[in-house]
Amino acid sequence: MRTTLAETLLTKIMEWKPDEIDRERPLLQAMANLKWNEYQQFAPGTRFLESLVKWLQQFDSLEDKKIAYKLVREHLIFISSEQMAHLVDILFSEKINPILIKKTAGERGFAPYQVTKILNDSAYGYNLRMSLFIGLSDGSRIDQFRRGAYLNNEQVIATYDISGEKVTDMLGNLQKEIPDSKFKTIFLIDDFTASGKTYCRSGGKGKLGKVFASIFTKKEEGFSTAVDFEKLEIHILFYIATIDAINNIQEGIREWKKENGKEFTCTVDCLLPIDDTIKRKITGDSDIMNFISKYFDDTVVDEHYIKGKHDLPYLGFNECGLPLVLNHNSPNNSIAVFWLPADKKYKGLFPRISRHREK
Amino acid sequence: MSIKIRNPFLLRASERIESDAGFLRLYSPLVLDYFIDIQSAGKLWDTVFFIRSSPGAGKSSLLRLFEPNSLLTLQNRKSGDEFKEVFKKLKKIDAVSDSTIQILGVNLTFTRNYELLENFSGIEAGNRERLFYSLLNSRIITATLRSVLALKRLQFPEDLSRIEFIYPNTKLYFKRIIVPCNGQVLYEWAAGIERSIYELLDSFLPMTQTSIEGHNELFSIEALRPEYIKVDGQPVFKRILFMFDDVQKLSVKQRDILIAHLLEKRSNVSLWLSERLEAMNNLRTNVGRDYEELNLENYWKDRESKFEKLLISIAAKRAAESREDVEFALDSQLNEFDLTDVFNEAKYILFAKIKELTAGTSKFDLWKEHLFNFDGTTQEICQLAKLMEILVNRNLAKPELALNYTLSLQEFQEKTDEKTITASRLFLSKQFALPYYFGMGMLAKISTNNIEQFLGFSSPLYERMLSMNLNMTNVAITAKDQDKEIKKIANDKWKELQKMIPESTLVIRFLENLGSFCNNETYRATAPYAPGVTGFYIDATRTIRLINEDDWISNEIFTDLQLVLDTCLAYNLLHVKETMQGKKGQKKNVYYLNRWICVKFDLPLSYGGWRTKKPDDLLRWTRR
Repeated sequence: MRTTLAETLLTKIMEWKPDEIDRERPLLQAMANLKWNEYQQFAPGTRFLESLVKWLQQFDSLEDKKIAYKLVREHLIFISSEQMAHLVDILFSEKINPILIKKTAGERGFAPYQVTKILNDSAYGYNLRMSLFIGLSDGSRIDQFRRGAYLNNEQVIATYDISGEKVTDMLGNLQKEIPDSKFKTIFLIDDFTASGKTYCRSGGKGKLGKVFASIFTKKEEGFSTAVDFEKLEIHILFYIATIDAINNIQEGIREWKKENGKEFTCTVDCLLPIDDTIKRKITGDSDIMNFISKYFDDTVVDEHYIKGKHDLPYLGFNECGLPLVLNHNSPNNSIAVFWLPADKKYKGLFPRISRHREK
Repeated sequence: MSIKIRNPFLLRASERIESDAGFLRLYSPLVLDYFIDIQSAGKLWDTVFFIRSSPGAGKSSLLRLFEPNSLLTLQNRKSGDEFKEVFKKLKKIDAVSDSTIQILGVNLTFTRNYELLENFSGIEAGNRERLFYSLLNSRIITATLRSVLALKRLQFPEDLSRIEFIYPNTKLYFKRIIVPCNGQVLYEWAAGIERSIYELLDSFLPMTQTSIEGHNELFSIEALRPEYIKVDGQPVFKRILFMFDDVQKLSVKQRDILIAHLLEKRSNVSLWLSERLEAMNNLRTNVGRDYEELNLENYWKDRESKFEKLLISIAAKRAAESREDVEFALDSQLNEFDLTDVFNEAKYILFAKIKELTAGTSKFDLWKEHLFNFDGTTQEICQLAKLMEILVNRNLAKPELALNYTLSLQEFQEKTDEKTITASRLFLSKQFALPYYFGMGMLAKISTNNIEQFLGFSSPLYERMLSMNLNMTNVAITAKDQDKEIKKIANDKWKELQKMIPESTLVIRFLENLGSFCNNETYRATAPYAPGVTGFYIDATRTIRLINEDDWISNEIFTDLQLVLDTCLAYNLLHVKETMQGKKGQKKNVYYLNRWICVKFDLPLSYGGWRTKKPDDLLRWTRR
């Protein structure tokens, strides 16, 4: 579809007068060019404007269309690839390095603010080398992170599901540089979490349960042979996370420690925290709430979906109610009208590819 | 992929349009007619020439035209329709010939870092001047070498050694290198001077015996003559043109030294100095005596129809660059049919008003008869009625004996002049909320001889045309919508002032007082200064006061007023126009409101209406 044609259709659908077109069109074009066009799950050939036209067309009345447009215009938060790349680039200096500096300061008896002294101390170098960086999903962009932080290839891995052979290999390389050493700090890195449910669920389920099991359960596969349990610290870092999710994960870790009788230092943190203000802007607007409940397709509520809160399922998984879209995929914690897949009764503006594909 | 954009009217200023071809395509060469005129009078080349205007009037665009890359692009595309006209005009002023580029344009843009040198307390005053000349000489030389390479399409710095500098050095300007020399040697020497000056400025250490080469004069422009510069043994150009842009960024002292030096030397060099009218001081330089000056705004001020033509051409060129293929079209007529009810009501009210005004006299019976029986459209009748109302008011206001003789129709016609007709149109629009600011002519006036201002107003209008095109309706904006949009833009600009200008509270208060003063004077029933008042003249001579107003420009008491006027001139909120008035040959500097501010205060856009104000009155406008 040509852009001009899409724009013409849009003005017809929205019944815009020339002064409204003057105002809206430059903004849409600018935002589409800046970010929205880069959404990776658009069908081939589709760009934002075409998707917007198709999305708006399915709503019954002009009032509904206006509410839908308002959602995009005033509430949509789109994290572009460039923005995410920036977060990846600063993760080491903003979050990881301060942890290593603090740790070194504690060990060597320096004041934490004597940064240059600490950085020049060999203990800092050892602590850095004895750190293991594990990506928890593709979104962690662990390759970009490694290059940006100038890390050794042998201490960064893209997945927590790893062969015993690789672990032995990594340990061997570490011990070549620092004899008899083991990894004593583990950084688990991921891009985004809104509910925390993917990471911690009761009964040791969730990604963290699996990672902890592979660290603490002594068997051939897993990390247990490469880890120094006495001084072990685990730090879970996200680029973007809701405050709720961080709290939920912390709670889940406490439970896991209790259930498994383990004690170790474990923190959860993120670069870009999202508090509940943006959710409240959605839930506090009755027009928007009516609209998103009206245009919901409950066939998306499957066995995975009901693992979260789902009294108001149109608010997204676990009722997170976020108006947020990531450039590579819409999270299902966002309001459903943004991400409903293309095969549903109503289609999302940024249709989502599900992690749990239907068979 | 197309590089065209939606709304090319949003592109600003020559320095931000990247490609030379893109710049030339958008450049409208009408101002070159001025150069053609002074070229034929033999005053264009081999002289010092000032180009002055407020920001956005086209100074930098003009200079960019003479840079090697622009001229090369033009030579290569001279047969293309978009480039033909510029080429023809540049040929007339001898900048290019059919097969060669005659001129080497060397552009040196001043930045605030020259001022740094002036304020550097570590250097004593005498040395400061010498270092200033050193810095200028070194930058002129490096800029010239770069331009030579650009003109010959050679690489910088790899090909510097292909340049030969065969200056005989009889005056021993070059003391630390052996001249003649090649471009590489010359460049390293000049760049070395610049580097050492920066090291000095950056150093925290106290100034000690310096090894920097100080110069006593601007010899570089003397030495860089076409006959002394060759590339691969061949002469490169016929004439060198030094263009100093943003001269206002020098300190006052540096600017004075530079200008005095250049005028004193009279060295037959083509040197253009371009500067903003940033301070009133600039207005006091000796115009026309020792050098030629082009004040871009004044140039267009005297050529209104030509300026309108320029804008039409700019608009057409910009519209052609839009990817949406929409012409820039403004409706120049009122939609009379849509306004039928308004005009009918206006006619009724105006007739009643004239009857009321003339109730006690038979003096105007013939005029009224003419009006009531006038065979014209309702719009024409309304305009005539408003005109008559003004003339009746003027007549009634005269302290004459009530002889009550009837005035003839001929007298009505004699008293009718173009200015009063314009005033009656303005009054009619104001009274019945009819559109007034519409049409290309009006837009040209609002632009106040400033191209950037034109683009500021035309970009939202073009956006509207694009929107209307998308809506599948006629793209020409109606008079009513133009008027509404133009007023909105003016109001938005007014709101922006607070953020844009220094001392905004003082300036805005002053302009508000001035605007409402002009509005009151304009809309008096007798339209005494038809079509309206939009400016003031400062009369500091006639008053006998405790404060001597003669020297208000330098008197501390008037600091606020000086500040306000300086800011208004620098930001193009007021502009000065010379007016002949009073004794024969006496010229007065009248301060006029920028025309967009006239829109804000519902004022007419023509010049000529101004009132005399004393400095003390003006000062009061800054206070309350």
